Amino acid sequence: MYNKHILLVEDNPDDVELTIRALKRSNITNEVVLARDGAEALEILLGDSPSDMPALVLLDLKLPKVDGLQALERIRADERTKLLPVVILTSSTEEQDVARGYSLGCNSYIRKPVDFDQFVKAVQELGLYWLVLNEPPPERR
Amino acid sequence: MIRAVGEGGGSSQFHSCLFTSIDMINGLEQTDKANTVIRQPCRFFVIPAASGITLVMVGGIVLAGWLFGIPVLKSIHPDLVTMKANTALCFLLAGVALCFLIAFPFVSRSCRFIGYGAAFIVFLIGILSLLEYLTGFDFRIDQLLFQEETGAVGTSHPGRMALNTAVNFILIGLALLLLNTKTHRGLLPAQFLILIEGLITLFAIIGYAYNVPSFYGILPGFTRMALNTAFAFTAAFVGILWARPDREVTAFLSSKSLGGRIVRLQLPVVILVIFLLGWLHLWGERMGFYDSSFGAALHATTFIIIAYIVIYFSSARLNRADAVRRQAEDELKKYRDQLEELVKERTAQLESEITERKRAEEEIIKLNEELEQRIIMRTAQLESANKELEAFSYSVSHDLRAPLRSIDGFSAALMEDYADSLDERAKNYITRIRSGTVRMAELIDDLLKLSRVSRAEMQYVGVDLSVIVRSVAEELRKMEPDRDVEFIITDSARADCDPHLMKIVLENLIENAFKFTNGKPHARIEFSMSMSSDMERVYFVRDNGVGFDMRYVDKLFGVFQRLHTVTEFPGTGIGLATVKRIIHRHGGRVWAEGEVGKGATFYFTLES
Repeated sequence: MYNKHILLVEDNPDDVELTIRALKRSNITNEVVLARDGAEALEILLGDSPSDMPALVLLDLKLPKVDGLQALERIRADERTKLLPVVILTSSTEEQDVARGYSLGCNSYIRKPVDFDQFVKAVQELGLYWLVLNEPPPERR
Repeated sequence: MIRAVGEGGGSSQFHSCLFTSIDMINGLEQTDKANTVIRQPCRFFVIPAASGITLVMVGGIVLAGWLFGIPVLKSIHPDLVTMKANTALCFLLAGVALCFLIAFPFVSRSCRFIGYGAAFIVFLIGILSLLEYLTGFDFRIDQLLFQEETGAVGTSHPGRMALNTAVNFILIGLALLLLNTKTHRGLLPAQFLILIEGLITLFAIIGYAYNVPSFYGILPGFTRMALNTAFAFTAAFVGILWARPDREVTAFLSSKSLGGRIVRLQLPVVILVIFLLGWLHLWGERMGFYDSSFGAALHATTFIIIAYIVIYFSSARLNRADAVRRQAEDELKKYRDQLEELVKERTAQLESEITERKRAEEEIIKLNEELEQRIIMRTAQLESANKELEAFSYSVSHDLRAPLRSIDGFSAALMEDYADSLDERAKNYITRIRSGTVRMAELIDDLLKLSRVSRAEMQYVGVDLSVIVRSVAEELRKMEPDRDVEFIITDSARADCDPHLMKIVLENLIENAFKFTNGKPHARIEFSMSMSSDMERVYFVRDNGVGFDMRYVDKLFGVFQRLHTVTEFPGTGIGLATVKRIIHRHGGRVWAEGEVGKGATFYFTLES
């Protein structure tokens, strides 16, 4: 298994730091690439000089410029990222968001618990599942 | 019918008797000529009855005279011609006929036949007597009853009535026979017949009064009409004429109209005056008071004066009547004008009322439109408020939790990374910060839930509440398998409600019951349904937990209202507020009963 990176799409620096901390605490050593809004995330994934595809995208919903759901729509619309595992990691469980997230093709929807211990636990399980247990989609050539 | 306006005081007494209203009889139509008949004449028959009786009496007296040979009963004066026995018989029969015929409706049919029979005999005697004169043939009726010696005064054939008398009896007989007969033009021939009879009689009376024998004895040397016969004929004339007071001539005479009144006023005076003047004129001349030219002049002058007086008075009366009528007309006109004025006023009033009403209707329409406009506006406002609320709660759910995560996350980091440099007290504070943060998150979540149940769209379906309660109970049992909790759940408590929202209600109530029976050695939680007195379904959840003080029952359903500390029983104080909100959205009521230490019961209804 290649040690591929994780794309974290998150605008709140506190959340960025806490997420990275939680990943570290969970012994997930994959490199974390940060995008501070949806536009940046799309640039990274679908821009002129696309880097390697990440193993996983952790996507917040409330984002400046292009929000999470719009970004997800574009990701799924593109042939290159159509099958990319995208986990929505956000604060809200508003029904409309959950429904829209799934209908746009997210692979998982997780609400960030306020309790940090639980958050760490969630991130740990998430990393274990998506980075270890789950068989990723075939690489495009 | 027209009512005469002026009430003349001059109508004679018998008129008022005659005109007491009684229905017409014998199918004789009432004459509708407005100015002839005013009031319906009665059939009280005073005049014809009196006349009939007079005739019977005259006939009887004269016959008695013949029977007993009393000359004074046969003729008024020995120098005058006698009334013949046949004549007397005819008068008697005519009187009987008249009485029976006019009284017909009140007597039997046979009486009517007697009347007609008597009339026919009168007619027969008359015609036979006439034929005797015309043909010279003797029917031997003249001396049938009594013998009259030849050479009696003014008698050509002993016992035979005079020629004019015979003609009169023919007329009377016919008139009586035709008393109830009309021509096809509605005229009564009887009255015309009797008028001729009257004329012949008039000649006879004038003849006697003025001593002109040719007036009462038609042909010289022939039997003359007796004076008493002439009087009896006069009685017959009046009686038969008045037998039908509502017809032709009599109707005119008895009319209440102005014309009728003038006739009644002037005719007797004029007749009497002319008669008397003529008689006086003649008498004076015969007595040698004046010569014929002086007599004629005096006659003329007196007549002119009397005529003037008569005409003057009747004209004056007419004028008075006219004045009264004109006054009445003026008054009538005044009333009519007033009426018209009233009608105009009322019409104007109505029109203004109609205008007013139309205006009011327009106003109502306008108000309705405004109201509708306002409703549309208000709906739009509400919709936008709802949208704002949704946006608000959306951003709350996103943004309010983020700082909490930061607080908790970095507090945890502080504890981990700087555990060595923090003393126990500091660590305790940090722990408190973290638990406060978590509680804050719970509160936010519950508030969002409350806001969600207020906004959620309702869908009514038939729901088995018992099934929901059972599944909730099952979940709770799994969560705390060690607790001894007895659930008593009624079967098939069905309701029409929103299943999702009702699940929240039942979850809250059952979880509360579960929570507040914690610590009881044997917890009992009951869900059931009962019917209230006004046939309303009342659902309830009952437990034997800690209960509550009824003094604080008002606080139970308020947001963030709690009767216990968090350390006693966890919770945010939003659950029952959420329950209340959902029940209210269903149009129902929710209330609670409880006692400290003994348990609580929560009741709710749906769709009151």
